[in-house]
Amino acid sequence: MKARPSAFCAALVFVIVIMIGALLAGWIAPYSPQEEVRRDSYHPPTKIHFVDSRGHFSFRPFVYATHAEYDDNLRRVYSEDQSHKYYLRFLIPRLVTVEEPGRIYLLGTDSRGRDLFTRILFGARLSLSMAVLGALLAGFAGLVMGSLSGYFGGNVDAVLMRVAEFFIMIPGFYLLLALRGVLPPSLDTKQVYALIVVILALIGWGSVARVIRGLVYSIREKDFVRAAKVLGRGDAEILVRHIFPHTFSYLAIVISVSIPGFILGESALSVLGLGIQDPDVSWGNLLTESLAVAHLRMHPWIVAPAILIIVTSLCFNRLGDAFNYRSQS
Amino acid sequence: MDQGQSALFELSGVTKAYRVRAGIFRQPRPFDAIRNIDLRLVPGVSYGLVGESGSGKSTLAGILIGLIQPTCGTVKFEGQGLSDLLRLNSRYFRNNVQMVFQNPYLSLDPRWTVRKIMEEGIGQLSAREKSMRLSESLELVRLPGEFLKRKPRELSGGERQRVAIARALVMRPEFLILDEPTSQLDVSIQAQVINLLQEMLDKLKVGLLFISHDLALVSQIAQEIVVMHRGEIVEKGLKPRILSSPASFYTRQLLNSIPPWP
Amino acid sequence: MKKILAASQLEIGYRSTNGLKKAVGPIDFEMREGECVGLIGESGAGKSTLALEILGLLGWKSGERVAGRLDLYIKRDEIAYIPQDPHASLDPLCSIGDHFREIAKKNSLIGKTLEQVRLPLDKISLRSYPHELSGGMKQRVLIAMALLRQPKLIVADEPTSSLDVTLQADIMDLFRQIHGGGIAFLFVTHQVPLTRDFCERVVIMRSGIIAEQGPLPHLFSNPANPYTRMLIDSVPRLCLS
Repeated sequence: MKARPSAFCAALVFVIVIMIGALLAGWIAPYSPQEEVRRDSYHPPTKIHFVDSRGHFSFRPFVYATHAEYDDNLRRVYSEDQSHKYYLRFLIPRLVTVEEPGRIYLLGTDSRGRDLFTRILFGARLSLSMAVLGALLAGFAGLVMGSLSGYFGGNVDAVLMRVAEFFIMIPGFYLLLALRGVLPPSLDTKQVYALIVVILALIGWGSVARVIRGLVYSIREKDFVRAAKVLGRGDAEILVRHIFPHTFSYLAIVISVSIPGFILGESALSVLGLGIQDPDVSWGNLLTESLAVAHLRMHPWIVAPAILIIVTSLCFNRLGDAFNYRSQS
Repeated sequence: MDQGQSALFELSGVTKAYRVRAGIFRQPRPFDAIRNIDLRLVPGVSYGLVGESGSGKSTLAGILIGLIQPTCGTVKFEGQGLSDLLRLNSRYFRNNVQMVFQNPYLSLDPRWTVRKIMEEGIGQLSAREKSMRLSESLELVRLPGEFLKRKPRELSGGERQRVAIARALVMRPEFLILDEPTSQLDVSIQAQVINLLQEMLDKLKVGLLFISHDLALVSQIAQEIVVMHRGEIVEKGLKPRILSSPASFYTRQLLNSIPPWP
Repeated sequence: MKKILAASQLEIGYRSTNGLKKAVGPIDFEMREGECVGLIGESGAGKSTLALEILGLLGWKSGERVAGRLDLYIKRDEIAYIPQDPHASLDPLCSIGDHFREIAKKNSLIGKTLEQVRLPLDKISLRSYPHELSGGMKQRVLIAMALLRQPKLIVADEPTSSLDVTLQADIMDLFRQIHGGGIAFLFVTHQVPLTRDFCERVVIMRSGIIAEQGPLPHLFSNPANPYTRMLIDSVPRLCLS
């Protein structure tokens, strides 16, 4: 399998950009995620101009104020008031801002007039961190369980693998729903966050453990492990100093590749109302508004979170491929 | 064989049985890797263990080094039961008996530096003492000090095997078991390693168990020879006697199979 | 005696992602009818590469001839191959009868050849599968398969290195017998002593080129190249004291 370094770099750059975006959302986003401007409900992405109505070019980009009207079909349309220009301001106090009453809706707004771009960035914080933490936790649990299983064998192996197989056997999505359903429906955001991370890890650890077990089993027969025993090193030392490092390349792959699934898992829960709730924002609950087909026709920008989820997933998959390629050479 | 000296290793009636699958629907049957082994090894002597594949020589090595537990029979180290010793004071045993493995490409952790590999066995020692032992051992195997920062993949097969020997010597063992240490090496490198071992025997007071399928090779370094065939010891004794007037038919077969040279 | 193959200024390399790495050459080498030549070298010397090129099997390993020429004066199907690892060279899903029938159709020939290689037909039959055979028996099956082609040249690549010493002696006897029947041998090995009572001439390879070649026993008693001398001295001799 040939690696296309350019695709890998693009994926890595995108992942880094989205992570920085999530971290610095407070500065990058022009508004706050809960800020509602009802009169700007379902506002399309603001047009940014360099040339005004009289044909004058300006280096500084600007926007016009908009107001809503109803057209013949009683649909809301926005038209620009070209009498006054509102110039965009950069870097201070945020990456991009504009004077009131000019509004910069880079990806449009939702039904309550909340800026989608802002909400996507803030949503990234929760969605990405949950997926990454869940993947890391699944990887760590799988590593420990799989290593104990593969190294000690016998009854320990039998018991641990049956438990892992139980978790693998249950279809992930139903396990997600079942575990969420078992707990009280109204929990605060922190509790829901922790709960989702744990549930994601529970879904994922089983298959990691199985593969790690096989890896450890093959490594423990190698002469350098026997040599370590002959030199008097104990089991725990051997596991940590010899065996774990040989699992890292696999773990990098499996963690990268699990993240998209976990993003989708969290999104699914939140779309169904079992995950992150309003007023907190995650990519999942951003999708609830885009569920109706009518919205897609009239306000296509509302699908932006879905596109972002897809692109992020593809990029993490590509990272996993790159780790895979690296581990095989 | 020297009866007067107190034995380092004393094996009596040692058997190691494995259960092997005989087919999908059949019961696994027991298979003796080694059977009824009686062996006495005294300190300071170099022994050669000769056997072909399936003779049980590697199993015997595993038992001597404490990695394999016998199914029956007793294994004594300096008069004490080996399994008890490993349980109560394994550090003492490990400091006294060390092993060099067959495959130099597998017996060194590919992710570790040579320094880390060689230091692995040393327990609690001052930094000065550690580095002294490291440089002593490297000198014994004729490797320069700058090898310490290299990794196994930068070394040739012969160099790796020398690192493996140095790693064992760092522990200052009384007895060294070498399990086919040269079988993966080129014949010219093999000669170098054998010369090295002979030098070591002269310089240090260390006993040796050199395991190989090559009787001629073993004869270069061993003072006493043990011949194994299909899990049993068929003959043992002083080298000159074994090579000139072997008692066992199998030993004679082995001798006759050596391609004449020069 | 007629020439059966001649290599002149032959160079062989392997292609990898890092480019072309030269393994052999330039070398000049030839063989005549009925000759037994030993090709001796340590690992990486290029002896197996040369053998594979003569057999025309180099493509499987991504190797290619880079320069020079290799002329064969016999047909490719008159050259037989005895590979190194008998355990890896037989199809586990086919009986040994199947293996033989792939090469020769006449059962009488098969029977004769089995006798020649001294396969114990009381213990195994044509219906046996490879996993039922020991290493030595598998090697005999491979030798029988080589003989079934009624070859003019047998290329044996370290045929005894995975066998026990006692079996090795038997197989070398068998080779001597086969050679006595007039078949040429190219015997690739790293074990120098095996060639002494078998080969008429040896070629010592080192790092892809021929360090020395000459007739036996002359070469072993008077080596010109210091590398040859070093190889000769490295062979462990039975030491009685």
